[in-house]
Amino acid sequence: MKHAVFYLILLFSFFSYSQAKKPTLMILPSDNWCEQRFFMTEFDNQGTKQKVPNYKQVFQEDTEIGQVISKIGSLMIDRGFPLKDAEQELKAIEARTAEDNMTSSSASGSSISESPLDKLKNKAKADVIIQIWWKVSKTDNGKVVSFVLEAFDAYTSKRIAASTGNGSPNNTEIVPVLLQNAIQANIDPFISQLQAHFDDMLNNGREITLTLKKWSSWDKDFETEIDDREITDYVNEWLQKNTVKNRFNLSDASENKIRCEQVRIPLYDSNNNPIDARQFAKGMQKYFKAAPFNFEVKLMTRGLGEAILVFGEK
Amino acid sequence: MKVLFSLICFSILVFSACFGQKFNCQYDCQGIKDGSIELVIWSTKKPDKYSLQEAQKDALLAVIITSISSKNCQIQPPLINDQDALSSFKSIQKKFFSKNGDWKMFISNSLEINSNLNQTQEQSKKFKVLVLKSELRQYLEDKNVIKPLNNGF
Repeated sequence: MKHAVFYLILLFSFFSYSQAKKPTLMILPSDNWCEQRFFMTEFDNQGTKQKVPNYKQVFQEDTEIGQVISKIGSLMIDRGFPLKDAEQELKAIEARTAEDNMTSSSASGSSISESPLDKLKNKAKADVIIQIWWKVSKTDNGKVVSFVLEAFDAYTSKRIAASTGNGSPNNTEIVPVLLQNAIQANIDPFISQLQAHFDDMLNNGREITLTLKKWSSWDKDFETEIDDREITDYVNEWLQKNTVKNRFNLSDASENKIRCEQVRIPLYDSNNNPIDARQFAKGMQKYFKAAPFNFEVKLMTRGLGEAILVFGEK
Repeated sequence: MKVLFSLICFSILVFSACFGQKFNCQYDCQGIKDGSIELVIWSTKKPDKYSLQEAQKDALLAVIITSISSKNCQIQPPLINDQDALSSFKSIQKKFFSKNGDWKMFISNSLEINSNLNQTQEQSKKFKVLVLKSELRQYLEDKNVIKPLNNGF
């Protein structure tokens, strides 16, 4: 009897954990919204000045953003998708040391610059970033709220859902109520598109980009033959084995560089841990580190959805 | 955009298939608030004999299987937007809309509004019906008619 109960519990646990974990969502105001409200800051991208949203300032100073995020959050909870709190994630990032923010290779001097949004994506590991934009305009007939709700795959930055519309002119309701009505009107079409994306992800895996490069000091290139086959062929074979339904696009393959786009990777590994571009590329790094290759390969990432493997040194 | 387009096409197909056979009704979406959708609905086939109960059922069916669009509501996709879900709904539709069916749970408020079309036309009855869309969606999810957003996760 005891054994039967034990096996029943074991069986239940297996079915409970065999489902894929839910994608995580995070809401942020759009760049345009931040620009219009002067919540921008300058970011030094390897010498080039770029204007990027100052999300910390947004959350501290704007009076409407909290209500809008809270409303969308409650509607998403109703659908079984609690949102990641961007404000809390930002605080955690702030706590990092200055050295952590410098992402450069000590061996080669190469560096990859990450924008504040890339850092946020990396820290929060949200699968989907929901961007919101709204504007309240005054017309002769009353206030009109224009609203845009967009969702981007955090891995590929592709737009996966969007809903936009203008409310009717209204003179009686206050702005927060008008905003709530705008969210209510936009949320269902938005979630329908989100559903289509999740269905696609469940069926075909997550999409990432993988780039393979070589250091100039490396004595080989991707056309070098090992056991009568080019390194490119091994890359191709590894991807065929490890992508979902063999889905990937070898968009650029030369002796110095291989670029693979629309690489569909499994959502989770055998232990049900989420896999991002880094985890996936680590598999390839290990493959080429072993015999018969014995290559030194450096792994770098940009955001969650792009991995760069550089052959020749670490 | 593709998804939205296919949703609209699907809704039009369903609309002509389901509504065309039995009755003809038209509706105008007045607004969306707290998970409810307010429709003004009237019959084009039997405008003077249209009953409140028929209007309530038609309003529910409209929310379930058609795409609703208006200035106030923008484009609202139907709760059912694929053939499998439609087949599942068909299997419970009769019971759902029966005398003691569950359909009544999803109507919050409804009333007749005056609507003489004009002097030359016969009187048309119009009804304002408030459909509890969120609850209806939850019900259809519980009945395994439609998939919840977190399906598979």
